[in-house]
Amino acid sequence: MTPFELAEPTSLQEAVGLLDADDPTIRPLGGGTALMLMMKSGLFAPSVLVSLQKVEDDYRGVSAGPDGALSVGALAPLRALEISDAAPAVVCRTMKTLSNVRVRNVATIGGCLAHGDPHMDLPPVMTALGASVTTVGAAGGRTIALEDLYEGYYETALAPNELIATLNVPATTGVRAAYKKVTTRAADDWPALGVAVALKGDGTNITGARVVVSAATEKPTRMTAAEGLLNGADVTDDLLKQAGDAAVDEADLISDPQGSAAYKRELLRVTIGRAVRSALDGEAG
Amino acid sequence: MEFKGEIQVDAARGAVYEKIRDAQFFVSCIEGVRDLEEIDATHYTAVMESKVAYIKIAFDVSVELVREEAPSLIEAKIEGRPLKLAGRLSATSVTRLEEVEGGTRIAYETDLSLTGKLGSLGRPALTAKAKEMEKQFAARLQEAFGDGEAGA
Repeated sequence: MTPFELAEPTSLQEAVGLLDADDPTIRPLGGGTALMLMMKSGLFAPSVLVSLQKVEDDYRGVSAGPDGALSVGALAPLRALEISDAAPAVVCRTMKTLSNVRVRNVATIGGCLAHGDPHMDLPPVMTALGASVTTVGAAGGRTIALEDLYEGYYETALAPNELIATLNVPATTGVRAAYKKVTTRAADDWPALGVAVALKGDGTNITGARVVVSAATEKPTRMTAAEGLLNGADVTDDLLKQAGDAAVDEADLISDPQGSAAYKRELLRVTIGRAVRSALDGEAG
Repeated sequence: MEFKGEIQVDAARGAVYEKIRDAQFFVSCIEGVRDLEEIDATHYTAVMESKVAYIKIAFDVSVELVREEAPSLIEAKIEGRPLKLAGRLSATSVTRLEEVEGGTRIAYETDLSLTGKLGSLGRPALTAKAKEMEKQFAARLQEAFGDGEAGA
């Protein structure tokens, strides 16, 4: 591994000041679980890592508002969200196969969302739930909807000197959600395909659908054609097949070590329907 | 992985062939290629740098022209080794030129494979980048001939 400098600021604002908009080799370090893999393989060689371990505790908690909306500090470990009573059930279920508990104890929410690898499990789920992030940057803070955060493989809308401070998840009352993770090896491996759905409506009638595909695409992507078919409709096997076909037509699929684009196309075709069925079969929130 | 595409330019096939056969011109159409050296008439070396988000990967690249059928076909074999990463890049690229009304159709086809750490961690990111580079390559080629550089 190439030597690098380690900075340990004591506030998020100080950390932002240590990042450089023009130098991509200076990177923030949350839990480090993803970045270390890239560094050990030689894919990324930082000049400076700005550790966020010593910043104020304000960004480490998980709290629910009176309406059930959730506020999660960017430096909270994934495990904190997994065991939180306030977290939507779909998030807790997703965590069970998100790598292993050792990683979930260390990896941070902010790092997981900012890394930009489309194989991450949390971004599609949070996108389906309509979550957003609040950032701290050199030019002040802003709020970015999760569906606008990702711009490409490893590429996000975050400026190089901008950090995620909080994840905001709206109340999930009346929302039925599911995440289907398809792996080609162990259940907790990187997925070949991830499909997250969040549905509103009664019984089999859907009034508000959000369908998000990840791992098979360069970034978590909403399948608007499939959503259009589902919205206002009563779910039938035929409708789910049409939604799967629509997603296949809409998604720009990629090949990777988890599977070819052709393989993922067929996975996607059937997984859309399975995810919707799971959500409807009582997987509330 | 395979990349295919075609563009049409307003220039005679012979002129287009000569231009594409000029290695300096050809690499000027590819983003991130520098330090081109001609070893002999069919062998070249260069450094190619690719940037995906905050990750930069540089390759030592060698190119061999394995088939030339003027003025209709050029086939090249490309081998690359990343400078700081275990792995290998291999590619075969075929460019076909066809006379069409008002100019020449350039059809290109590249079959690229990545192995080692480069393949497992970098392949999807580089694939995304390669698609972007392909679009840029086509645009630069079009622009070059559109500006009348190849002559008619």
